[in-house]
Amino acid sequence: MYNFYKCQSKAISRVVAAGTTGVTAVSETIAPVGTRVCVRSFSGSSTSSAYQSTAISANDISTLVLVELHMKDPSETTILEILLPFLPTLQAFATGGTGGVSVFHIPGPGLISSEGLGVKMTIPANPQTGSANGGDIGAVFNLVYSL
Amino acid sequence: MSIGYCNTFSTNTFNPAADTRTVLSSNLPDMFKFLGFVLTPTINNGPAVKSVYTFKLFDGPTSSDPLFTFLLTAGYISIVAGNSESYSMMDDTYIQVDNNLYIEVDTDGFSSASFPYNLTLMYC
Repeated sequence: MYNFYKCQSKAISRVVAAGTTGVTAVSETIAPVGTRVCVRSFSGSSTSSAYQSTAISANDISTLVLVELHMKDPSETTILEILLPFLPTLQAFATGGTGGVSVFHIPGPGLISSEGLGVKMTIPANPQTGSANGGDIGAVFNLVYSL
Repeated sequence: MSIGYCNTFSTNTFNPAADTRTVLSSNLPDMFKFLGFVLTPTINNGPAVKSVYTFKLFDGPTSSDPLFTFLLTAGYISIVAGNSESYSMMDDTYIQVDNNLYIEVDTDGFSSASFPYNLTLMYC
């Protein structure tokens, strides 16, 4: 006898226009503190329409998109952290591209938080402008969960 | 309870209106269990290259939160097609759609008169 779980989804996305100098931070509450949430699957990607001209350093993840799932307890305990790199391989033709995590099914019964669930996403600055280097960048994180 | 076998529905869309939520198909039932989809754009150019296009799926014409959002790239060179996207539910999960599936794109360059985007839906 199988059990089937009716789930809900949440899409967190943001497009950052060319010429944006600061980091873009997005926060969403999936469920408030005290709520039991089970994360079942997710996908995430970043996309750049030209290329990300900022050098990516191994010691500096601020040039990448960072997605954190966290509980809604006072310390906002992190339960999942994902980096979504900008795809650099096509930059010779300035075509941009999409990099990230394809749909991931969390093994077993899922990832449980008994203290609610929130998502934080930070997208790096996109300071370049002009036809040579400028272009929008963006990031999206799709999440499927049950309450 | 059983989810049952998967049905598929596939459609090619040309020239979608920007920022206009439209029903995917009136041939689909209003209520079904969403199991997954594949989105394949074939854009070769948009009105503004070097942009990031947004594609959203909604349950119904008025819901504020999309079920899923995907970002697609229009590159600097006009021959570049957008990236394909997909989502599949786990074997024991589904999302209940109650008011039919609606789509919304943020640019009419998402597809053209010659280059559609394809959306194949898995449901039961």
